[in-house]
Amino acid sequence: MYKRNLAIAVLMLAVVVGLTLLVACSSNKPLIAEKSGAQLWGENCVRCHNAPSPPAFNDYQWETIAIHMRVRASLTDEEVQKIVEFLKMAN
Amino acid sequence: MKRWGSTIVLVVLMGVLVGFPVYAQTGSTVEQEVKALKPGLSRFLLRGYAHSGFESYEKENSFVGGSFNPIFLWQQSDRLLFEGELEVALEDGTTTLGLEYANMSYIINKRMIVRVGKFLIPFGIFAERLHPRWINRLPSNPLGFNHGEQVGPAAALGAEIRGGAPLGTAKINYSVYIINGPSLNDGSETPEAAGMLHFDNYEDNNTNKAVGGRFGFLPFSSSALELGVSAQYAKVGNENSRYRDVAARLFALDLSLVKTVPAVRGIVDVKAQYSLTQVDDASYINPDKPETMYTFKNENAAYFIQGTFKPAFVANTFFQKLEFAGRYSAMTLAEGAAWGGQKNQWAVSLNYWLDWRTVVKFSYQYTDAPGAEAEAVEHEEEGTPLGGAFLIHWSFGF
Amino acid sequence: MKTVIPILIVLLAVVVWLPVMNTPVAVVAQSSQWVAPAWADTLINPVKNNPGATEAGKKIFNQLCAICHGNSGKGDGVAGMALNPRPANLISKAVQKQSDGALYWKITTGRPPMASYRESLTEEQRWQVVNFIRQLAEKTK
Repeated sequence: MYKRNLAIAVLMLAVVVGLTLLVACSSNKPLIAEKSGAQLWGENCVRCHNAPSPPAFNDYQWETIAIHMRVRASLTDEEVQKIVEFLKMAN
Repeated sequence: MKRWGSTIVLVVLMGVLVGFPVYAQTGSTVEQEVKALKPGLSRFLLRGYAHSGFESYEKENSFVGGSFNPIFLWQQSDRLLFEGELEVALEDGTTTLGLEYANMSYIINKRMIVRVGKFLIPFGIFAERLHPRWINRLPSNPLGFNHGEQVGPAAALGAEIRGGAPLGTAKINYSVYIINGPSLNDGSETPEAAGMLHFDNYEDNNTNKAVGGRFGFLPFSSSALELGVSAQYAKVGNENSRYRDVAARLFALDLSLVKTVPAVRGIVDVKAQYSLTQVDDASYINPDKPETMYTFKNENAAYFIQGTFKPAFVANTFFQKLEFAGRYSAMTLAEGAAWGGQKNQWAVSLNYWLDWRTVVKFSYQYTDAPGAEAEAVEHEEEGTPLGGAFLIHWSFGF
Repeated sequence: MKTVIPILIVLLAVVVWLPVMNTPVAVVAQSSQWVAPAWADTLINPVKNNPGATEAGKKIFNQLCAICHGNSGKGDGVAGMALNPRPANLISKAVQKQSDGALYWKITTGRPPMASYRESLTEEQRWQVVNFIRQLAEKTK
């Protein structure tokens, strides 16, 4: 039982370390901090559901939805600010 | 000319005197109207989701659902949010009202949010993120993720700290929580369920609290891939019982990948989760011979892997909206226990998206219980029925 | 099972028929009727044939437009899959036959769910994006 736990833990660690190295080596990709609101909206929303249509809600509604999704999806502060700014531009 | 000049001056002056107040008044009225429409700092939003459908199992078929889940969002400031979700559904002919969650979140700083109340537990991704009917790509939940045959927690009472941070081209997110934790069925009331973990433990059965958390890692700049690791530890036995020191260790791994594949003009979405619960060995009353005790290796596992393909970028506007989904899930409950056993399930679905939040799912699933001891599995009344089934659901996100 | 099959067929027919019926209407009404005003055609692209401007336009395009219109402009970005109307295929004839001024006007005003870039991009930046949209079509020729 404990051996199996250990094996799972080691496997998880190996995957995380491996991927971190992989990422570190492919550094020509844009930094998260440099992404636009449109990109962050598209890339993060589709992780669970379709990217919502901006005109579906008004500016104030988006602000409340943003805080709801910030909590639920553990989005970062910077991401949420940019996403709301984009949605307000496109609704 | 002088007279003309003074006349013009007079007319202009009069115009200003008469016109300005009117103009100014119009301006201020519009301003006031806009101000009146602008919501205050207290915001309220009612959203949610709903579904209905038709399900046909081997022994029964029925229209189902008609249920809806209102989500109440009260935003008290930029930092304070209260959320509550109810489930209004029909069960055995009566309308039931369930409390899915009710919690308050406070944003402490950029990287930290504290949440207290009843909340969805980030043990893997299914319970927290994927279960809403309009998000789940199949009409059913995977084995091990249903009420009554649950491997791992879905919602609980407690407190949590969570957040996310960019890390160069990658991202991380985390959650650490303390909750009542699961309770161990000691068999005193239902001997055939002795040793099972119950996750709906809203009045804690002991003074020990469960601690747990999840760590998520998004290695790619596009956030297309997320890998998550979850764990939880708690003593689960009733206070002052012989099971007081029996502990449960829970682990979960999850994966999410969403990627466009221009070569096949579509989008591929893969989701997977593996959950494991381990409970310390203990002796329970043997349901077959109530005067004797028996023990078993109390280890339960469930996993699913789901893949969907959406040909969103083909020219045909009908096919653009289609989605093909497939899922395999399996559950192994404590071997040797009266409630132990194995189940596995294939599910496929053809979905049609009317818009970004409305979907119709036509699905077929086949559930099997290898080992032929199907009786043991069917002890759980709420479990997924065996055999083939057609399910048609219509789901909305509001 | 016998009673199930007809119910299934009826339900399936109704559910499939509704969207099928709606589809052609939606396509005609939503994707082809966004026409820039005639005066937009008289606007002159100040950075026409300026390779530096096109390069700058590419950077902006990748940051702001590609998520819906796709990296190659075909309307196949991940976020566009469920929008209505769908993001335009920028290398299509329907888009490329429009004047630079018309494209500039559309980028400037937007039409939900397409954002307006009047405030977040300068005039010059918007013209740079127009240049890059032309280049996208040339690449695929």
